[in-house]
Amino acid sequence: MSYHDIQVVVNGVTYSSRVESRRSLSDFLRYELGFTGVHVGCEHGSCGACTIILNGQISRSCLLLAVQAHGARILTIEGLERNGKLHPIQDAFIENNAFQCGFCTPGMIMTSYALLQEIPHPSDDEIKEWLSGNLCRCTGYVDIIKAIQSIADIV
Amino acid sequence: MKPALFEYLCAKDKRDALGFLKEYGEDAKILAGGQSLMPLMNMRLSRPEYIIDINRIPELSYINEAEGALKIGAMTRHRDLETSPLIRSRCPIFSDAIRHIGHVQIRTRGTIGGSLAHADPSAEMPGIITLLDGKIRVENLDGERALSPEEFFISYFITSLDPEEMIIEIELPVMPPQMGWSFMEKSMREGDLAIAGTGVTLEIEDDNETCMAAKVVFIGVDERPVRGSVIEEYLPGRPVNELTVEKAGELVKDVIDPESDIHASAEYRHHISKVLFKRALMEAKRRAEARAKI
Repeated sequence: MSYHDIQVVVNGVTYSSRVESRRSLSDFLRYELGFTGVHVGCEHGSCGACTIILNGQISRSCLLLAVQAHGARILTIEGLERNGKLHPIQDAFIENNAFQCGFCTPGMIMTSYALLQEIPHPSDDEIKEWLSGNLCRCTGYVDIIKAIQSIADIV
Repeated sequence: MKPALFEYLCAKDKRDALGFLKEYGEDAKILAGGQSLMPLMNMRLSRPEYIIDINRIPELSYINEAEGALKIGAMTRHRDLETSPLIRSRCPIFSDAIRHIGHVQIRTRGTIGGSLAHADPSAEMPGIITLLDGKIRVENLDGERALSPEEFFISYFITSLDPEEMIIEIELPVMPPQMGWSFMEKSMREGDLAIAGTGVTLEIEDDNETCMAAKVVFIGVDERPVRGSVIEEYLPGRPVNELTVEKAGELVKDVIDPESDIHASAEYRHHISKVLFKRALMEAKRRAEARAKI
């Protein structure tokens, strides 16, 4: 086995660390850096709870090795708030009752964030297609879609 | 669900990667997009001693057109293929098939080379390259060779790649402007692996419905993608109408040999393949007619 020195920028702050080869990015973000907003559900790329933005691209952090993220810019759910103020997407999720247990929520919000960056006014079908990679056992998805539609103009 | 121990090697260029493969070959796996390999490793179904990361080799990622063909670097991400205007115009069936791959989060990392090397017979990339008679260029430190899909895909998750070889480039023919096409698949949920799927390309004579040439592929119904040769021989010279589509549909059961598993029975796969094929053939015809009008 081997260890590697890495440097990553997470939510605008640079971190240096030494990681084992097999350390997943999701575990690294949660345990080494304390970003427990990154949730780990299935660890095989099906559920989307671990969704982050890596170098501007929405990705599953459970399928990335921490060592691969050396030199990368990462955005997690913790990075969405500004000076204690929640991001409009987060507000929209609260206002529209778009979460219950909250386990899928960070992943849902990161996917919504990426979607709205690319498609400012998504149709319901486009929202459903983008969200198809994020599983939710509680809500039935309807309120999540409503939440995204509600801020399509603002974000 | 953490992987077994392994040594991580980061290749800085192609030669570096091939050098690692020569040295560690059998005990190593290439890490491209990781969307198929990492799940296997996390579940310990795959336990390579060495991982060769090729994500830092920009020269392996490109989409070019030359000599009537698209040349695509093996590390080109699905998302880049999906959004490429060049591919959309030169090979629209490819563009369309990519949309069926997993979800956006998978497509931002997944690569065409990785999908082909993984060789899941229900996957879209192996299906399309088989349909279009593409070429797969592989290299090792000593040389290169080009393989047809027939030569490349052996069985479930098995290809003819040597342990020291790596896919470098995929070549796809540019679709003639008047060619009709259709790709359809059935999965339980959006983005799941296909239970069965089909791709069709079709050329028909101007001003009438007579088929000049057709290609058909089925995915998820055998140990590798299957070309419907008997259908490809049946259609030319015949008008593509409801009757011939019905008759061609009857031939599907002789082409495919699906298994039963927890997702679907063999009978269901037979049924759905026939339904999808008939729909795809009609859609290909409509597209051929529309394109002829341009």
